[in-house]
Amino acid sequence: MTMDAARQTPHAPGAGLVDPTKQAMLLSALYLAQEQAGYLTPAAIERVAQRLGLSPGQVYSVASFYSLFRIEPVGRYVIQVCKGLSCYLCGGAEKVADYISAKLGIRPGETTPDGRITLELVECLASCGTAPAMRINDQLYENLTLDAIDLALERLLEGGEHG
Amino acid sequence: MPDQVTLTIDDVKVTVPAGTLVVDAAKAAGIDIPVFCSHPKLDPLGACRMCLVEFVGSRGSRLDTACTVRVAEGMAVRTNTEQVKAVREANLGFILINHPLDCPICDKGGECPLQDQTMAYGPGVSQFVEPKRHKNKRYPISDLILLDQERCILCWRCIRYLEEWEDKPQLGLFERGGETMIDTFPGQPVDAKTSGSIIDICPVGALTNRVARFRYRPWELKKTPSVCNHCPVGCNLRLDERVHALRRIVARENMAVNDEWICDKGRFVHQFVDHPERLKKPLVRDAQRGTLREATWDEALDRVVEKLGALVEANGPNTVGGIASPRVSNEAAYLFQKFFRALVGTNNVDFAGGSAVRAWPTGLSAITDIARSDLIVLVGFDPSEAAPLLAVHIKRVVLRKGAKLLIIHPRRIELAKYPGAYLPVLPGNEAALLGELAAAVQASKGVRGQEARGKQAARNPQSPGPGPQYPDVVALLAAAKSPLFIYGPDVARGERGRATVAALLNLATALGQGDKLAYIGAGANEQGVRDMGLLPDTLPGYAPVSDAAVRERLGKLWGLQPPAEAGQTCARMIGGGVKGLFVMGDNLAALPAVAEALRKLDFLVVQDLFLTETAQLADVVLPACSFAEADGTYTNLERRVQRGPQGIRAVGESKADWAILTALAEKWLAAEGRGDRSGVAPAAAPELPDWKRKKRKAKTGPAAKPWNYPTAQSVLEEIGKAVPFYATMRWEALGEGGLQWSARDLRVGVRDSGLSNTQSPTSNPRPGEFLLVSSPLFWDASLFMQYAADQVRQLIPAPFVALNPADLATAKLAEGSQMTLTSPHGSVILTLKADASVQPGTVWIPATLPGLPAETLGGGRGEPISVVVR
Amino acid sequence: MANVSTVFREIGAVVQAMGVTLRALLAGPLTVQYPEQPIAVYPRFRARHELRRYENGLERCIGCMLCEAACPTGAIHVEAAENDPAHPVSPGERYAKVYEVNLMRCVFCGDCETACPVEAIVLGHDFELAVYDRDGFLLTKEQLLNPKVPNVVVRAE
Repeated sequence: MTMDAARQTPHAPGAGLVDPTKQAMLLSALYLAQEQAGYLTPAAIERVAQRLGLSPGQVYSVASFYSLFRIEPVGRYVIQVCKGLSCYLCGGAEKVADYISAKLGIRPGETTPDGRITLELVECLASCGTAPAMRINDQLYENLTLDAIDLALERLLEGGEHG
Repeated sequence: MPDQVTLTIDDVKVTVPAGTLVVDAAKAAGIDIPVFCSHPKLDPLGACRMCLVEFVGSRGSRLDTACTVRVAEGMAVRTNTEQVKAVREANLGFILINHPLDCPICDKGGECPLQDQTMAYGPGVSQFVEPKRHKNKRYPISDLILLDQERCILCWRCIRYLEEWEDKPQLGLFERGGETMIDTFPGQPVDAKTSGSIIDICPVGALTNRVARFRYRPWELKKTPSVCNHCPVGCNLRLDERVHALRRIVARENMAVNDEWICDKGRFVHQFVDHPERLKKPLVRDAQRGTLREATWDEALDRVVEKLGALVEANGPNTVGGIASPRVSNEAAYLFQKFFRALVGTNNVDFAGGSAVRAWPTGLSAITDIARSDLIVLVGFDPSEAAPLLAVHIKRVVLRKGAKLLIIHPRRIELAKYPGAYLPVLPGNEAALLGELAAAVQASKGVRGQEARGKQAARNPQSPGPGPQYPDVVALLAAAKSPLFIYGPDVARGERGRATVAALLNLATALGQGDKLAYIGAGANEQGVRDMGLLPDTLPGYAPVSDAAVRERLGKLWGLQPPAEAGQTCARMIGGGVKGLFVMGDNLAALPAVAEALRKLDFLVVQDLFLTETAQLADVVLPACSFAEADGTYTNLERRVQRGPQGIRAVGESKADWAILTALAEKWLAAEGRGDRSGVAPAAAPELPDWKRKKRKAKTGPAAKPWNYPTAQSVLEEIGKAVPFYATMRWEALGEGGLQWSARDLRVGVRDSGLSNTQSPTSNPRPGEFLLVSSPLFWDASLFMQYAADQVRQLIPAPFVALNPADLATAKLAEGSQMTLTSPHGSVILTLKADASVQPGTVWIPATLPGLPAETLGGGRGEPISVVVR
Repeated sequence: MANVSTVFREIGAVVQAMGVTLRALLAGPLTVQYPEQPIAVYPRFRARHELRRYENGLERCIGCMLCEAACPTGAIHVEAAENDPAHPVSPGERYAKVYEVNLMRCVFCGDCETACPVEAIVLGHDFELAVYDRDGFLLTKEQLLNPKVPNVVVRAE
């Protein structure tokens, strides 16, 4: 009677046509794609999907799940301020973010009008021992003080290369 | 591992097959475990946590999801403990955190699993006072489906359906945490042909049907089980009616036919049933003004009897004929051919795509055979566009069981992306290609079987060679243990079609699979219409008209025998072979050339739902009922006879096709001198007493028996007598799942299987010329689509022609430009499209586009058409 | 004498009775000069239906048809439709395109009021229901939305 009872005959994971090894490359591929434009453009997502034999929707759902993948354009420099528990207890987090906010005139999640700097709050930068911490692009800043923040921002605003 | 496993659920012992999920085992034991994400037709997931139950083991009990755990011997499950109750309450509380309580305006309200389970297992009072999250409430994921992201409870059923059944993973879960929502990739709406199925399986009202939205509340609907009238698959569906309007169509489960899915045409295209433009009264052409005016049924039918009768008397019965639609019910088709064969006395009955197409009388052996096959050969047939449910079944067997596809089609159809082989073929060359394949298969067999004799002996000297260019294909064919060979009408038309079908049969026979050849027609009831003998050379039950024994048998049943000589085909009748024509349910005159031909007729009767182009030319227009308004049976492509009962009141004065034909036949019989065909008018004076009149009739020879059909069921009863293999097809016996007639009952030999390919192969077109490919498109401009809801009608594409991008570049043509296409049959102006699925050297114009461009150029005639693009 | 006490008791009864008469005499007439004078009804008096609006003019009715489901006599017929977001008839996505009450069937039980989730349908105080033809008993949505001011005064419960 039953023609195809999916639950009677379970199929092994990856028994379909999607190549499991290809699928496993998705995160790495997205990192590569993100490096090119600073964020994942729709065209980049479609290209990744095409190369890995996935649908753009599947790639997009992975990209939107991980906070380190960006699907919106960001500034050249992305300042990530940790709002994790350790940083919070060490007097960081809000204070650091507020300080940078006031200095750059943008709120967390925004980009400066010249498109250079984006400020965002993130969960734990895995630097609890050296809290408070922030990250500018790939460079981690630990044991932050207001002076240290000033120094880092000055270097950015002067236009010096970073990270 | 034992095949059967016994476990205990709430002290009930239940034995189920190994591998069964606990949730299904509980169902078998009669114990209800609430679920949201779990669905019998989808892979287990465990997303909603609603089915948590207690598994009692030696080290105490643990909670786990019943929808992902498979049964084990001696397993003990408890579903009614305090802990399970508490977990269910808490879980429903969590699910309802952000679920809006807009049940009063939700289409699902009343048939909503979330509502029902909250009532049955919920806490009653919410612990949450915080405001709910706000998301998009009216978010289109396609032209036909709206998503309410607030109502969504993230069960993934829609995502999984599209992944597992459609292999079109277009929906995904985006963002994460509390912001997670279902969405599509920007600019890529859901376009699966059975996308509407996700509305049915959504456990909340998150996915809504844009056509039926807000037109019903579930509790007030009258629900009628019916079958779809769009394509020959015959999907089972349910008609939901309220105050004499068809509110919506949903799928109905039939594991033998459509599982529990239906395509979007079946679901969304139903406005033609109660469209305001439906014909409500008969129309007759006013003698003075020459225009159509409303008339009574009596007047209209009298006019038909009088005019057709006059033509028959003046010129003989062969000057009138009937063309029906392959959509009508078995009852209508049977009475239609009986009217012409028994009362008029001619075999001039046919339907468009009827006698012109070399159909295989037994159709597909069974739809369930798709799931059992390891190779499916598709010749000139594109299931994705012509019969989407078949495509769903085919994709399933490819994805789950590793079946291969061999596709022979002039266009790289959607299914060509799956493992197997795609052989591009120029239109008209199918027979030659199949011949080569058959020869190659035979040769490879010969080589294997008789190596000692050498290769030469195995070669067929007539064939072009062993086909060394297709070694992979030959290997594919040779390796197949249970192949299916499916072909469609596009490659079976005319003389070339006969050769193609013969070649395909040769191929199947060479592989020892001659019984796996299947023809899949275009009309919803094409199989049934052929079974009923609505063909000029075939009587009901596939007996040739020359078969005297069958004629005698039918003569006893009808009172008069059908004539022995074959009637005129559809094309000949249109082309001037008749003076009077009765068209039932087909809009032949949509093509201007046919309209011109129909204008030359002395008398034209049209029986249809709308005032179509054909009806506008008619002398009498009879308003018919749609499939939803009348009882009828329909036979699908696997010979399954299914009931389509009346689900809504007939619009206006319209009548069922069979009822109109019965009324017409009664008038025909009552009219003087038409009871018999002896030529002697029995001048039965009214003052003669009854017994004398009877005597007189007896003297003048055999007379047609009266047509006494009070119901469609009584027609079906007579069909059972006329068509031997329908003998068991009684209305009650058919039930809600239908009955298949056995192909073994059909004792009709293949009449020209040995036909060799005498057609010259199509040569490659000259530069600047292209060969016309005209295959079906799902969203076309057929009559039902023209009278569909606005949301559906906007899916009808503007007429276009598609070329291979390489051809476009060579010819320096720009995509989107307007081009004039000319063939020996006509000329059309179309918008140019680039499409890599189109083979170089061909142009693809889908069939039944607005204005019928492909048909104007001569497509669908079974001969290669060369087209010049300017 | 025992009779003396009886006489006093009788007189007392007469005085008591006269008291009732006098009080009635002073209370004024019970007859209401209807229709010149309005009828006094209790606040919960149930008569002809009304459909209410919000202050901003939007209709309260969302076309959910729960009143139709609750109606024991099948007197209500609702057809819903989707709001045009630019010109909504009611808040939200859905509104009642057709709302009809058949007063010949209605038994004024008030179940529709109870079922209504948005307090759109209420039974008002207008009891003057007589019309000249039967079609008049079929109240349209237009009539329900624009009830006339009933000729009543509301009395305390």
